[in-house]
Formats: sequence, structure tokens, C-alpha cells
Amino acid sequence: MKRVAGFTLLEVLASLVLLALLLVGVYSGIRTATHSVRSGTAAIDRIDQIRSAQQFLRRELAQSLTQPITQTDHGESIYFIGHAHEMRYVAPLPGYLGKLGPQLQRLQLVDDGHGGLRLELSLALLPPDGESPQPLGEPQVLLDHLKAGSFSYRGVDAQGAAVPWSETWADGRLLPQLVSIKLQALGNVDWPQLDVPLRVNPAQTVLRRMSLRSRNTQ
Amino acid sequence: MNRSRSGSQQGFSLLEVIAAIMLLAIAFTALMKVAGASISLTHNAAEHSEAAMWARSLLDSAFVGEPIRPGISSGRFDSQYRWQLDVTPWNAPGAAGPAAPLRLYQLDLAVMWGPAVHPRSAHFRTLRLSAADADADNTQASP
Repeated sequence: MKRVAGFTLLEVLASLVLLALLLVGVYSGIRTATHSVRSGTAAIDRIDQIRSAQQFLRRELAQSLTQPITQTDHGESIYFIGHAHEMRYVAPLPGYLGKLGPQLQRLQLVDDGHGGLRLELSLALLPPDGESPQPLGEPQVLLDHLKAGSFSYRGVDAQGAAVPWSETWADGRLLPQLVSIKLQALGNVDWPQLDVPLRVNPAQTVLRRMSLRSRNTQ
Repeated sequence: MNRSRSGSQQGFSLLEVIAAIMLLAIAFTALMKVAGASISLTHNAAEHSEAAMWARSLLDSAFVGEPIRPGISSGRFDSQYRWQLDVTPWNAPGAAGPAAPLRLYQLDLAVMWGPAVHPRSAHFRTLRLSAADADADNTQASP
């Protein structure tokens, strides 16, 4: 009887060990790849979120209007309210929503209940007869998972003197020239500081206020 | 039965098995390389996006409320990103003379990051209109 030439036990064991080593390598490689794909997708999602939020804020802030939000005790109109964690301005919405008119937008950094912050936007209708603004729905979250953040403002005051960066905008009768939003995000994608120039020339605000005043005195 | 017992039945030799496994290992290594390259490309794209956002803010807010000064300035955005801004008068053909009330300036911004020896960089350019007294500005970003 002829002997069938096959593997010896030793050969089978050796190849099994080799194959096992290789499979361990393949498995860990695939796991690493899956993990990094997941974290890469998360990073891209996050940077997309940040970019969309920045684009939205840039567009809305740049278009902010000189529409009175409230009035001071002396009957002067307030166009812009700015604090370190809250900002109120009036900006038009896109044309397809235009029949709602200019909106009072309130941008707020609020506590999210987990030790972090989130950036919220609430909209309110400004009735033309000067009544108090009517809120439109619930506040919407523009960005969450933030560690810290603040708004700051720069511009010129009523006398034309430059106001350096500060965390409150003192004179609401004027619009600031620049609004800066600094946020510290949790995770490894940063929020690049957002600086928005307001397109409305502050000088026009002064002129308009003066013309309104002269109309009042007549 | 007969055939299986004939000497013609040949299995793999150990060498052949090892060669096959080696081939598999090499193919898998190549695959992993591709995956790694795509991950680093993703990272690169994310860095470019961030640089673009920094640049947009700087170009938007540069020289608002102050006169334009031609020249080179530089600084840091944060621990990772550095910038260099080069302001030159825009001397397009048919440009207005030096006495014109409004002048165009070209703002060239380079954002650099990564190691100091071979930094990665992104370049941005915009035009800014500057007047003697009024501060009208016109921004048109072109990446």
C-alpha cells in the first residue's frame, strides 16, 4: 500500500500558529481602522457643525439692522444689547420667510446641565407698533458641548471715540463695529474665534437718531 | 477510493502555505496603508477648514475702524495656527491715481500650521477699499 503524502502534525501545528498570528494582526488592524474611521467621521461632523454655526452667525450678525428693540428711560431707541453671555440684535430672515419681517434674535450661552455650555438662538417677532417682542417657538441649539465661551464687542461710542474690546456693549443706541465670539469646545475640534463686522455703519445710526430727534422736537 | 490511494494526491507543502499567508499579509498591509492615508487626508482637510475659518475672521475684521497700513504683519491665532498678513496697494491696470479718494488694497493672508521646518500653509486673498475719512470696505474673498 502506498503511503499518502500529507502534512505531519508538526507542519499543521506550525501553519495553524502562523495563521493565528496573522489573523490576530488582521483583526487588530481592522479594529484600528474602524475606530479611526469612526473618530474621523465624528471630527468631520463636528467641524461641519462649527462651520455651519459660524456661517449662520456671520450672515445674521452682518445684516443686523438699526431697528429699535426697546427704549431707554429717555425714550431713545436701543438697537443692540450685548453682554458676555447674551447678545440681542435685529436681523432680517431670508426672503422666503420675509413676511415675518425683521426678527429680534437673542444669542445666549446657557448651561446644558452637564457642566458645559451650549449656544442657543431664540427668535422673536418685532411688532411694528412697538409692543414687546413675541417669541417664535422654543430656543434652538446652534452648538453644544462647549467648555467655556464669551462674546465681546468693539466699536465707537457716540462721541466718535474708539471703544476697545470689552465683554459688554455699553451704549445700546449704537451698533458695535465688530462682534467677536470666543468659544472653547469640548473634544479635539476647536472653535476658531469668530469675528464679524456689522455692515451697518454706526455713523448712519447717529445720523438717523439725530434726524428722529429733530423730528420729535418739531 | 482507488484514486485517493494512488500516489497522485498531493497536498500543499508547508512552504506553499507560508507563501500564501505571506501574500495575504502583504495585501492586508497595503490595504491598511490606504486606510491610514485616507485618515491622514481627513485630518488634513479638517486642518484646512479650521485655517479657513480663522482666516475668514481675520480678513473680515482687519482694519475695521482704523486706517489701512500697507506692510507685513504676523501673529498667532492659537498654539497651532500662525498667520502673516501682507497688505499692498492694488495696482491693477487703469487704477486710480494716488489722489483718488478711495483706494483698493490687496490683503494676502497666509495661515501656517504644523512643524516650523516644513509648515503646512493655506493662502487667502481679498481686496479692501479704503478711504481717507470714511471707512467703507468691500470684501470679496477668493481662496
